[in-house]
Amino acid sequence: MAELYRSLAELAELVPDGTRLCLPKQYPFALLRELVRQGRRDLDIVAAPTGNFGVDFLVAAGAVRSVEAGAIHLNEYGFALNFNRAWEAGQVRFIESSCPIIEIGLHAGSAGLSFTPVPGLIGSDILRDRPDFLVVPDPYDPEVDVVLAPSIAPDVALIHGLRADPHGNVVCSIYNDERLVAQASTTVLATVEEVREDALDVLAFDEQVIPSIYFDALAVAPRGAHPLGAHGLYEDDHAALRIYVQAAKSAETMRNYVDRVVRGTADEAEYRRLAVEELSHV
Amino acid sequence: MSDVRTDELMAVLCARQIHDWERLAAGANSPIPAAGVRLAQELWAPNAREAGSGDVAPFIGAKEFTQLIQRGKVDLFFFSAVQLDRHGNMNLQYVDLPDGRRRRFQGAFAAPIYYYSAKRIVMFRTEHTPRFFVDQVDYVTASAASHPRLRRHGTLTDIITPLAVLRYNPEAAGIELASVHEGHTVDEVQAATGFSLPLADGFGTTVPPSEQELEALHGPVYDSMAGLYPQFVARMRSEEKVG
Repeated sequence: MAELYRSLAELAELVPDGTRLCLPKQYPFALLRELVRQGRRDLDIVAAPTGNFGVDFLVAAGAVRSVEAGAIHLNEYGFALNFNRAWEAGQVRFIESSCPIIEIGLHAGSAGLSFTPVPGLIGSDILRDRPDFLVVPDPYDPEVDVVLAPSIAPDVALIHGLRADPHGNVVCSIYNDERLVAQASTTVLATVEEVREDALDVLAFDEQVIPSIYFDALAVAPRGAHPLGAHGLYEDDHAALRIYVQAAKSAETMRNYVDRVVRGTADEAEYRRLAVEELSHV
Repeated sequence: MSDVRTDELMAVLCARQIHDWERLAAGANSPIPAAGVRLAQELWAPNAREAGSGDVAPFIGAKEFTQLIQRGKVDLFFFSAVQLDRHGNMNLQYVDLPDGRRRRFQGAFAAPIYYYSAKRIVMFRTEHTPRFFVDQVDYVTASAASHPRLRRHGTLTDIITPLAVLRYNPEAAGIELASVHEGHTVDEVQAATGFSLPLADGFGTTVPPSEQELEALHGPVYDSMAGLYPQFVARMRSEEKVG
């Protein structure tokens, strides 16, 4: 019988090629790196509701077929250099959307509905780029039109929790959409910084517990959000992010970065050793 | 790049958009409207509440603010854009290049819904150029115009720039010139705008920042912003001493 807690490599094996993969913004970066080590391809990403380094990294590693998002950027570092380059070269498809459309689509998915009305949007060119969105008379107020959009029920959601208890109840910050994503997705996987008996005993005002019933498998991944931070535990590693952004300036330097930092490390323990070593030279 | 005095004028003009008891939000990484919000709270709108600010406890997930604005509970939202056209259409997403390719920016964010959901949209932009004010946007992220079959809670009202305040006239479905800042002229503003600008009813010179507004800005407003916008505050304060 499979255990709830497994290794990072076992978790990654639950995400096959071609998965429609949902990523809230607190990325389980260790798990994303493991997907790349395992050579995953053709992922269709739903960013909840925008994407940054985690999405851009998977695109740079050649693991992504399409991205559906309200926006993709590198936080305060600006444009998503790898994503934009791959998009211009036709190597990745962007599915036009907007943050509220993704949120309400996931909300409908979480309720088992097949579609949802979406407010606004009429007059936007996004409607031209999304032929699957329909403009229909509001059935309860036929004087006005309303946009209908398919609900979003991703195959797999990947979450990074701040801690969990041995039963698999996961503590996350309240700032991102982990809860919504867990409710909407068919399979839910999480990495956590640590497992503790008393993980739920004291919650900060901006923490929440995602009940274990949502999760299919978990893995422990200390510093698993690196190079980004984990809310309340450690900050974004700006030295490491600057190395990333520098590498992202050309396809060749980015390929070298992915080969060295991810494909060149056997596992996360080796990644962490390399990260410390690289940064000591900065 | 605009200078400190212009940034302060724009912050004051953002502040004057805010009334007491309003619910509002400024996008992330937007120090000028953020300064405006704090200035209004300091002087005449102590009960205005800004979502996501330190004084208001955080929402759970991104969805909660979206739901608040979608049901018409947000009075004012500050936006910026890549292009804005004569009809008030805004573009955050793509610009067509002379060689026929399309330059991609970051994405639509929440604009295709928020532009229709906030009761008032105020645009601010630190450049006033024909590159921003275009005759027709290359991509319509969201549209200001109303039509009879469209349900919306509000639309674009004012556009604040380093040169002037422009205003969306919903009857004409077009942008007009509301006021020109001191030291600038109508001709100069027209030359920097990629479409012809009729003068709005009540057109005049922008009322410059008062002593009281500047004092509040330099004191409690910058003090309260230093944590979230350290570089902005340092810049405003360093040039303040020089000037």
